[in-house]
Amino acid sequence: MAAVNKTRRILVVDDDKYGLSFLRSSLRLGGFDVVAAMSAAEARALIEGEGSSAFLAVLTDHRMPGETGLDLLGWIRKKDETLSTVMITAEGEKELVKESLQAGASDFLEKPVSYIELIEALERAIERTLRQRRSAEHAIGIAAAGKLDTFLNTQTSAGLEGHLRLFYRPLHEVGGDFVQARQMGNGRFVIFLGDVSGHDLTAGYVSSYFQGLVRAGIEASRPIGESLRLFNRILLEEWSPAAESRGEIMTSLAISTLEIDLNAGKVVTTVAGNPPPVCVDAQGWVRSMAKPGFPLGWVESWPGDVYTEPVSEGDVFLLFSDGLTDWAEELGIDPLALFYTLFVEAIVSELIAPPPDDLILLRFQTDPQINVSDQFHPLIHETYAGSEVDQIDRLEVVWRRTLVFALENELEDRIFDVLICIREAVLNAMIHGCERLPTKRCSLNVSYRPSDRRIRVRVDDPGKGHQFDLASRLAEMPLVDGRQLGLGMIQHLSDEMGIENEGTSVRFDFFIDGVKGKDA
Amino acid sequence: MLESNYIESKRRVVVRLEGDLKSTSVPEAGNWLATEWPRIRAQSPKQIQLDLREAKVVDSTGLNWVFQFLKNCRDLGVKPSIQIASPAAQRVFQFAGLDKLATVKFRSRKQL
Repeated sequence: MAAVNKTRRILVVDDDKYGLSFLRSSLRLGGFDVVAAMSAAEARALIEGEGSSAFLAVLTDHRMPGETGLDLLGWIRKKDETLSTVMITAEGEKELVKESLQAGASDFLEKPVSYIELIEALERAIERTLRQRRSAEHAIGIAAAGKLDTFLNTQTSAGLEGHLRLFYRPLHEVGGDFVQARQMGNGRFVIFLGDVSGHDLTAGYVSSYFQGLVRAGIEASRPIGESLRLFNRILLEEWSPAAESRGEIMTSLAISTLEIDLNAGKVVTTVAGNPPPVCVDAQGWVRSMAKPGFPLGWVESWPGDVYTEPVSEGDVFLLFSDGLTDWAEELGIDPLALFYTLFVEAIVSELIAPPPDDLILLRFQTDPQINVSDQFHPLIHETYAGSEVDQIDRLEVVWRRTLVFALENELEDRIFDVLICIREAVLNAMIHGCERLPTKRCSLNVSYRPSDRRIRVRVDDPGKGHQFDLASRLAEMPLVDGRQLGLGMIQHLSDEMGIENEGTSVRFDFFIDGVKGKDA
Repeated sequence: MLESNYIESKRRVVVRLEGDLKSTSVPEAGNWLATEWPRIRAQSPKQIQLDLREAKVVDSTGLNWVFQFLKNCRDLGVKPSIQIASPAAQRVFQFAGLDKLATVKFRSRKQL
């Protein structure tokens, strides 16, 4: 006879006292710790009294006066989903079997039941209970870790109200994307946004370690670059060799940092592996603030370049990890339009595919008093080589998808006016400004200001411009050569148009509501 | 992308375009015009109709093609009619003053 194992405690329910006694004896022989009940009500009282976690399985007959085994089963499912149940049914009760399984019974036994069948069914039920309870504990632990992860990975200090807006959506409960933003003194701020390789607990640990390292450095007035160089060395000289010896992939960290001094009117940018931050000014013009570089943990020769540039009143800085650019690529749109939609519109459409990676976006506006809707929001910021003329149809598809995505169908048929004008301006820039050369590039900027529903477009090229009087040429529209015909079309279709730098910069605006402004 | 049909009873040639008229489609349209126009001319049509109802985007290159088409019609002594369905195309044609060179008929329909 097997010793009764107090850890294999089961509840047996049967209204027949001889049957119950037999089951109790048999199962004790099999090493189970048996608690017996003669009715569903008695079983409920025992479970309530001792707690469902005191039992690893419930074996119940179906046919009992008053509440049946099926009734008891339904109650147990609501009380504790992890507790497995085995139902004993009479011969021929096939429909009941089906009902039992649908109601959540783990197993059923049809009378007459052999001893071996009984033992095996209970062994399976206990195993199932233990497995389900381990999963439930794991889920609770992960949920708790997730809350801590969000807290640790979105650290912002006081003094940033009005300046800062954050969007954080990890792929799992714990991840490696993080942001820290701190006010260092009046008008001085430090921001860093990072992305540790991987999405699992390892990435979470690395993220926390790095953030602690940088935070300590900031508190000790150490330049951020020093902390980045130190961590690069740690990754390359200590962690990567250890990972390699375990047969694991090395860890890397992509990061972008901004050190903003509004009093001095400057911002210092460092980028290692992340998409470069962008700055959008009060006029809606966008510029990248750095060139991409290698992530930390890749090359010994890091750090990458440091960029210092002036800050102007009304500037807004946008930082984001590659989760945004990857998702935008899947959707076939510009990442900045996705940034705008997630951030300002606060819309994540249920109709689009879920993001493939962690998402962390940060928006910092130098003037906290300006209303977000009164600012320009970039939707497209791209550069194209002169040799990409043949790709113009593909580019037009991306522009159209991007504008429709960001502005939904607000433009209606005016979207074709916008597309024709962008197409004309970009073709002009590629053909004349860039001379169709792969070594020369033009840029396209499209921004949107919600308060007056204004779309602003600018195309710049590196050409020499023109020496003739453009206004006179446009006045002779339209029967002139292709170059001015395009500019004439832009002037006619848009609501405002301006040309600067002898034609190497073309700007035009559209008001969605169709209010025509003065020509610039 | 372009096809022409001759309705003998009315001595009308109908030239229909599929899709947009823009820089990437104009070379093919230009070739078509060069090879097909002698045949159209030989039919001595009294009416010529250009059906651009499928075009949503007409850029400056496309506009130049339309000008060439209209010039060909003028050489034949025919004032053509142009059918469009896109409000955007209508605005482009207004800009170009095409109503002075052809009868432009607008038939509205959903763009998107």
